[in-house]
Amino acid sequence: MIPARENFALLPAWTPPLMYALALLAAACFLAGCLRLARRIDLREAWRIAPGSSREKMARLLTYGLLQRRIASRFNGLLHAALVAGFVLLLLATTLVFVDQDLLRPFGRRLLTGNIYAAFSLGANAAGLLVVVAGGALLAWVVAREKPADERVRRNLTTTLGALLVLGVTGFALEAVRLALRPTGAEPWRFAGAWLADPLRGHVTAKLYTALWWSHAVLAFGFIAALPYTALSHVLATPLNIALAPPEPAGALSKPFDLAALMASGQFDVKPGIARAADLTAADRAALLACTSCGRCEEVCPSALSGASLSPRILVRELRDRLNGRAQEDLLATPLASQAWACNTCGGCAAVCPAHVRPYELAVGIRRALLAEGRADGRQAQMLAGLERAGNPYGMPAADRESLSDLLGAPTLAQAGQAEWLYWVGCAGVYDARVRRVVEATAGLLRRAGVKFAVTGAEVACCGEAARRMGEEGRFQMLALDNLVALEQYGVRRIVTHCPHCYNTLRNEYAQLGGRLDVVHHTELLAELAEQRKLPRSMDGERVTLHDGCSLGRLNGIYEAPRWALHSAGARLVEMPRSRRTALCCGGGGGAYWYDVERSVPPARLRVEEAVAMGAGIIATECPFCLKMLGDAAAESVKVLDVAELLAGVD
Amino acid sequence: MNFTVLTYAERADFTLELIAAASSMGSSVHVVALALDEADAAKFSVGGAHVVLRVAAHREVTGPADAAAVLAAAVKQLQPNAVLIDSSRNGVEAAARLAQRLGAPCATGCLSVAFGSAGGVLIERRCYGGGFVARQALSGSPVVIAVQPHRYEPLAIGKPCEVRELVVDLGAQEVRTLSVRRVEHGSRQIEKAEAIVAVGRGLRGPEDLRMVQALAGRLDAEVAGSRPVTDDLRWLPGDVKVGLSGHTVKPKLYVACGISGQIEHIVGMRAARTVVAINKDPAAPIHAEADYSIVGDLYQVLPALTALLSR
Amino acid sequence: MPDPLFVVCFKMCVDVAVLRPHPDTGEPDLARAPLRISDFDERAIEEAVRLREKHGGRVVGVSAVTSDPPRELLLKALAMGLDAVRLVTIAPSDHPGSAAAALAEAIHALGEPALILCGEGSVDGYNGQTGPRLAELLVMPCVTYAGRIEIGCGQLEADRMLEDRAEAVTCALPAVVTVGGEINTPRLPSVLQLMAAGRKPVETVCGVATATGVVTLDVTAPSTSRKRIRIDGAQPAEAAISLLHYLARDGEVAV
Repeated sequence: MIPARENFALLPAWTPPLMYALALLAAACFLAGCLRLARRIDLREAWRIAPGSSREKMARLLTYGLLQRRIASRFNGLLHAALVAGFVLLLLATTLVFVDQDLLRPFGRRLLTGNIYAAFSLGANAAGLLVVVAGGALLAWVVAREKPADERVRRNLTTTLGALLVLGVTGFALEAVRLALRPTGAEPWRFAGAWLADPLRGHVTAKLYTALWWSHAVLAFGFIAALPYTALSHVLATPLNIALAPPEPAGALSKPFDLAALMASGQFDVKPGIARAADLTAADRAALLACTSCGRCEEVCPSALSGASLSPRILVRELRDRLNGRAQEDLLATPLASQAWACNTCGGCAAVCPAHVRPYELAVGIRRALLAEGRADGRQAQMLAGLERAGNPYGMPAADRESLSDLLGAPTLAQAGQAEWLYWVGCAGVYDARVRRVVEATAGLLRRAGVKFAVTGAEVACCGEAARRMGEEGRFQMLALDNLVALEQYGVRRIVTHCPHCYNTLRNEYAQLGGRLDVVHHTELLAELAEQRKLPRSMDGERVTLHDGCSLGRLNGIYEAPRWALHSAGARLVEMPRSRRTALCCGGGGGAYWYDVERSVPPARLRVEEAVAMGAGIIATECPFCLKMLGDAAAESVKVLDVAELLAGVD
Repeated sequence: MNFTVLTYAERADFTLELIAAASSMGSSVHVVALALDEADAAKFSVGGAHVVLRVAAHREVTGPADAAAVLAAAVKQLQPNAVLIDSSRNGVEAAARLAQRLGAPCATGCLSVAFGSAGGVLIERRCYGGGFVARQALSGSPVVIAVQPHRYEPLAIGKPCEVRELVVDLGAQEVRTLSVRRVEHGSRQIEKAEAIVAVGRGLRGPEDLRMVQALAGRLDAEVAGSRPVTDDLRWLPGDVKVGLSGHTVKPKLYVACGISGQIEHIVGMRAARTVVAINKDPAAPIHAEADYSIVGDLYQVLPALTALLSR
Repeated sequence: MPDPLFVVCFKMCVDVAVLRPHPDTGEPDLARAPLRISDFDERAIEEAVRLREKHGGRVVGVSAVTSDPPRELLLKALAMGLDAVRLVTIAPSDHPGSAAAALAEAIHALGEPALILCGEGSVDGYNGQTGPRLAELLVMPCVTYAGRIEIGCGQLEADRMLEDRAEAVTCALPAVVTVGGEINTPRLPSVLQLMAAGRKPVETVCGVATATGVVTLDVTAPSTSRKRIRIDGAQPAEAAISLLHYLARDGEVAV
């Protein structure tokens, strides 16, 4: 006997019509739900504004959606990936049954017969087993090991996984009963069903089979119908967002308006930012609906870790909860308004999010709305007023920028005309005595290596990075446009800066305003000079740990240059547990350096403790703000120095 | 040439300072002091005034509008060359209103006052946020000068002088006082503090704050901290943080103990009138931002200061 | 009080936070320091806008200027919520009464204000005379150094923040009120709001002849803005004694 798939075997004659009716109903519910989801997102718009070509989107979908590359990076994620793999296979199997039964058989042809049927049986059994085992393990994990972020998440997880488990178990049960009642000859391939069937033989009836079959079918159709309406909607929404949004946090924040265009039109009535859920863009909505509240963001967020009021997971959920019905509610009157200020825009959340959500963009969106109403706290207002009046966050005289030229013995931009390199010293480099030492060290190394450079004087003002992150987009663009004009006027070609914040903004954000600047970080240039053996060997095996600055590391992927520079100078590098992509923010990012965030412990303190635990005597920084934050928090047992200072042999 | 100078202050001790200021303006100054009651009149009479005018009005003299009315009546009677008023908040309002009524020039917040050779009055006053001192010449008869308190030492007690009565018709009171609340020392916020003792990383532990508080108590000052002490070490609450991410303060006296003087701290205290720095690191930037700096160990200097101030 | 008219007097003066002495002369290097709206006057604007938000009406800003003020400062005042600005040009004068005279003239022309607000003093001169002088010129009650204002039924209630006490006072409207630093935190208009404020009206009129009788002879920074006197080398006790000696001389401590 050639084994072949017997469809509707052992079932009453009324089964097929009823099943098809149910199937149609479930499909209708499912489709309606999908449409609802698409409408809530405004899918067409979301697709249009999403970055990258369709091919890139598909590649992301395959890698991160289907193959679960990021989700599977930890044990429970691996179980999730197994579950998904099982379901995808079962979906394939069901499709084959559909082809066999409803497309081929009316023409007298079969697909699921012979070897194909054997393979099908084996695959389906294995997939089913995968679902049951992975689902069960995941459920056990959730119940026993994991601390789901809150009760709501736990309930969703346990009911969904429980129902899935029931679905899998009934599937095997009914197969076992069927095989017990009527062997097919494909038993070797249906190993799990056959193994269960053996002890049942003679104890089960066709009635039981019918009952089991129907409970399984109703549950399965129920799943399909309910999928877009429940926590399972992430099965649709999350892969969609994965296709739409790149996985890494972006160095450039989104641009809510174009100041130059507004100035040309004379119309300034735009309301940037997220004051109500209705203000969310299609891309934001796709991201919100993709979130599964898994809480990975909370585990890495400097705000959540330091006891600040912000949790990226809650931020996303609060916004998501308002997408339906409460879209007009004034968000600025809710705790979100103050929580948004706790964000360091460090990108840590986005770097781990399996759904490719960027919660920090949402926090900035709320800040933008607050600032559009002139609602800045005293300290934020003071910083922004300093930018407005003096072009630097300190509110110090703009003319002081000229002073570095003498200190460094290098011409200013205006004096140099054209130079090979422009050293962009940034505001802290001018006004902060501590950071000025970094500038001196960097300039000394460059001079020693024979690099000709000019320094920025009063021709330029603040790059606007912090203003943008604090939500004052207009001030950012104003500063950026003026700076771009100045850089253009002096024909600047290449810029080097010791500040990752300036680096990121000049490189990635000025590009949004038409800037085409070739910017390198000082550690990149120093690493290159070290390679050419133009730098001294300043260290002798000191244990140094590098604190990756968010703007350089996570946001721009520069991890090796500072390490190579330190290594060539003779340092013995030790890595903190959180390094490179997972480095913890010092707490100064996102403009927070300039104001106060209420926390139970500063992130800088956590970071210093982490470094001390590694036995490092020196924390090397690559960012003036990390340097300041960690320097303030460091105990006397550990020194905090910029990479350039270490290379220059500064003690 | 003989000059007549009229003095008025709400507080008797300030009038005594003004009498001293008036006497110092030139060699032959005829000083007339306004007194609101008998006790004050007696004090001024032996405090160096040549004549004391005891104000007699149908109701109590309260507030700057009344003060301006009293002064206008006295000016009418005496035709003085200058009117000196204390540069308190009420004094400044009274001075400005009197000057406007008389069509007279007026200077407030004066650090010193003297008659010039050409007959006008020369004054010095702080301007541009306190970082500069302007010298001005005022001409007119009279000129109205509000003198900063504590600039002149009251004169030694002398012989009593003539006390006359000045009858003033005050007219209706336009601004009525409903209640007065003393500003309590404890609830004073750091931004309003007149004196601040601030600590930084030079402090070894939170238990040593007591030493700082002792000095602050002697100076009638508030205790404040720099960012490392408030945010990172949490030895002091965040609401006493001075600096970029904390409060901007403008006390008359700011004593920075063990504070290195990072820019984010400096921007919070640069409006202070007088800055004292105590830091054992001679290279600490705070020394360049101070009027007086002691390169020394705060654990020795602070107790020494406290002990001296307790005497 | 249907549609009350609030008038705010504000001064655009040098930003003293960035003002430095000229390295050669020791005089304030005014050419290198930008202008700003005087700190207390920003608070007066904020308070007037809040009163309008509560009671309706209009807020008009009035400023005495000696030359064309920077446009961004006018935009800022308007973006903070002023409905219109009226500039009065006057000849430069060191007499604190000249601005008051010009402002009074301009306010007369505006109609009948319910309340006139200004800062307790300007950040550059800090004379504290403009408000009281205005009250005399306009024959109105004057409340200085207000830390809180409420209006209603033709009456004003305010807290006057004095050195050692807060006085709750009341008077009839119209009145002149000067506001101090405690009264509010002025809002910071965004760049978009600044640009949108360009549509609001700004009118310039010529002011009256100015008062005379005050001449500034010189303005100097006492060598550096900080004295930078080092007391070192001595024993702690000796250092403490000389420090207190200096402080007593400056009048910062009473010994």
